Amino acid sequence: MDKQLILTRLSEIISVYTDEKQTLENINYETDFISDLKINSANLVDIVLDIEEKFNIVIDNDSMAKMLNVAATVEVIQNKLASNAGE
Amino acid sequence: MVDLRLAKTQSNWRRKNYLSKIFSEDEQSLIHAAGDPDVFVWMMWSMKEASYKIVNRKTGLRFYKPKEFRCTFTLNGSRAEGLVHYLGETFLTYTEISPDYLHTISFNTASDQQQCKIICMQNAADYPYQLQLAHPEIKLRKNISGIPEIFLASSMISHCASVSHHGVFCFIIYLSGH
Repeated sequence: MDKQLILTRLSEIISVYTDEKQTLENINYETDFISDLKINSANLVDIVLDIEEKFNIVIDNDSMAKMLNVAATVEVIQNKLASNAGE
Repeated sequence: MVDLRLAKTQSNWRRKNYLSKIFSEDEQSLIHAAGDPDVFVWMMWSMKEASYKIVNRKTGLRFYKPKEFRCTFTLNGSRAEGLVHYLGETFLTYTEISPDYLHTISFNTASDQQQCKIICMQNAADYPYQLQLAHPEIKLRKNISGIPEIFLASSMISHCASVSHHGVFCFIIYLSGH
């Protein structure tokens, strides 16, 4: 899946958990979930679970550990989709 | 710091796979056996978060692996004392539980615990200013690494601090030792 499409679908998922609508409109690979989007850390799990459901992938704990910003998250999604496709 | 009222609407921990992403099998068993599972979920969550804060400050690393912080605790009425194990390190935790919130402080050593001062206030966007209005002798600021510190005008000494806010509550703690 194209990186830009992943980003678009990711920002739809994130929109439920942030009040920082302006930051969300300008979302980019540098955007940080906690410092920029002020997402509660207990909701990071929800984002991980939503990603698993929407992209039909399984995110292991080591991958989840990195998912604090958009760049790392898009990379995790891309890698998981690629390994799904290879199966 | 967890505002229990806000947590009820903000996070649905009963959602499928939620607990297994954060808690070990043993911790999940404790939650399922608890009379008030909400308190157990948020207490262990805050124990993990508070201990992560220590690791983050010590190593400068940011990561999200709550499951690797293993909690045990003894509950005694509205207080709990616990241990959090992470990669060979053990942190001591102390939790205050009220009907509206729970607050956990994690310590590297028992002596830190004795020096700890706690200020509880209402959460606000301008909380550093509100703090100074309520406690004119205290100034909350950030050091060169961006870590909060409390500057006491009386002694002209800065003390290592931590701020935690959620919902309507804001807790500021600092170590009063030199």
